Amino acid sequence: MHFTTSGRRMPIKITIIKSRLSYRIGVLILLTLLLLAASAWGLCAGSIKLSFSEIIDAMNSGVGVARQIVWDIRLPRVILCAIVGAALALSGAILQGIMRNPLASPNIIGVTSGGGLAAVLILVVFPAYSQYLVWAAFGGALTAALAIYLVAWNHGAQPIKLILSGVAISSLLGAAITAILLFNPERVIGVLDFSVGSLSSCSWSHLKSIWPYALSGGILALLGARDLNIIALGDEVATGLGQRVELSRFIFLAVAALLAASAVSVVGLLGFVGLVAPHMIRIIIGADFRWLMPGCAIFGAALLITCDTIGRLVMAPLELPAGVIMALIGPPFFLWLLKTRLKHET
Amino acid sequence: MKLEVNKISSGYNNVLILDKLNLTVQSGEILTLIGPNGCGKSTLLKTVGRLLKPSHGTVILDGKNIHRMNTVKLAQIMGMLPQSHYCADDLTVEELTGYGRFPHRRRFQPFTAEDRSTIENALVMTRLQHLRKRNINTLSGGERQRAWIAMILAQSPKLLLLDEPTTFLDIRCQLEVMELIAKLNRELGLTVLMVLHDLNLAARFSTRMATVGNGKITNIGTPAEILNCEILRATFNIETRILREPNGTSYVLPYAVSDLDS
Repeated sequence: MHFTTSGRRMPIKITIIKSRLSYRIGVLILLTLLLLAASAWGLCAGSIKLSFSEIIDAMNSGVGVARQIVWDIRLPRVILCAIVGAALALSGAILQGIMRNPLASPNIIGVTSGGGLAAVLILVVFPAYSQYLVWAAFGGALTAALAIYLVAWNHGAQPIKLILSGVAISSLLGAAITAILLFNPERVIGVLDFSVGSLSSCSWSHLKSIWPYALSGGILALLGARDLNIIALGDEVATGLGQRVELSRFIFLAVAALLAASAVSVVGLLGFVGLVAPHMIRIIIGADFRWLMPGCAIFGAALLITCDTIGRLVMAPLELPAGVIMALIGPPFFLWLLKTRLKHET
Repeated sequence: MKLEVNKISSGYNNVLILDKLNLTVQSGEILTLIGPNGCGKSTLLKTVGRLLKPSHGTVILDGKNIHRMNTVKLAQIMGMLPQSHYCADDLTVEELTGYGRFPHRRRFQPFTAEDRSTIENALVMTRLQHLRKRNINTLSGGERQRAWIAMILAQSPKLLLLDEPTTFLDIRCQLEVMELIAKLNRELGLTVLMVLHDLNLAARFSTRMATVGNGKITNIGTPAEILNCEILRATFNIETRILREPNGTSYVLPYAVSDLDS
């Protein structure tokens, strides 16, 4: 990256430390501003446009249509987007770290398909229990992650085995989802929202059911940054440095599953953030997890709020799910970053 | 740091490679394991380095059983450089060296003055001060290996385990790494147990050498004793000529594969 090649030309140590540190702090500040801007946009934009001052008034007044729109609909939705985006991005960063594999994401530890299968079962087969949807998806997500870990276990769970068993179990669960939908074609529409990652029906109650898990998972993820840096050196080197690699990998896997499960249980199958956000932030801020983790959390939140807001606007009054927008604008942006990064390296 | 390996049986997935192996590494010596591929020398190093748990036997370091010790406490006195290691694209020499302080630091504790001086000494010993801000991946093979050695030096260990530290390096870098290891042994008194494939490098820089075969130590002695046509034929199935200089250094010249039928 261009940043470190400049270090070669200027061997004065203080300057480099300061410039690298201030660069990273600067990136975090910029990302935070981006998040604030995205949140403000998410609150203002919609079928009824509100200015920022109108929002402030609405929040203070306590009654009226504007207050209902902001307080009951847009605010929980923006906050939920932020939590879900941050949780998925952190989950992906953890998984890519402990597996030392750039393709690792919440999808491959079965969390997405496990949560998806449980949700589809509730929506299609047991619609009477649909008030338990979030909990069923949460349970399904964690069960799938645990199953994958157990299948991969053999005197320790090697990353490559985790990935392969994850891919296998995910496609099995995916097949089950498809089969259920095929046999119940009349209910497919009701499930579609869930399977493309939509936030259209979210409310304070969704927020209430997931925030403790997302928050505790997020804190654990940030606390574990140092251990992820050591694991990145390879299992053998990490063991030599006194890291309990197997134990750490299990704990991190559980944290990643918890984060992804809390996200999947409310928004459905929205995995792309978890794959791509860590890569984007790594390109910008570097691979040091102490910086990568907060960067991912902030960026994942901003990214999902933006995608959700765009989805509400482009075909209004119809809504495109955030997952669809993400899949449309995410890859080109990601490819552009990859290209520009490669240019710097050569 | 005296290291005693007592009747170790060890291997992978129930396939035992080491068979009641005994070995003693004296404090302050460089002991090099040699032997053909698959003879168990890396397995022995991994078992001593607690990457593998032996099914029988004990590894005793200064009176303490390595496999019963707290892994962090062990990392404070034993540094290990395995064959496989990775690092991020943007990791600098100084950051990698700093990771060596991991077993000495508490979570969230910033580098102390002691940490800093240890890292500085490690960079001085490995002659990497001028490269401290460079990315590991922009270094030459020899510099990169020295950076990894700087990292395990920052652990301030008394015993080093090195698994083929010269593999994939050109001849100059090989000598660079070996001279560094000899210097660490001489100036810091580090005990070294390592695996090498190059017999001449092993003979030039080791206090003692040991041959490994069929999961046991088959011969152990000074380089002059081990560089012996009979021993090398029995260990590697090769025919060799041995050159002995007046100053005592021995060189080996392998020239043919032994005829196994005769």
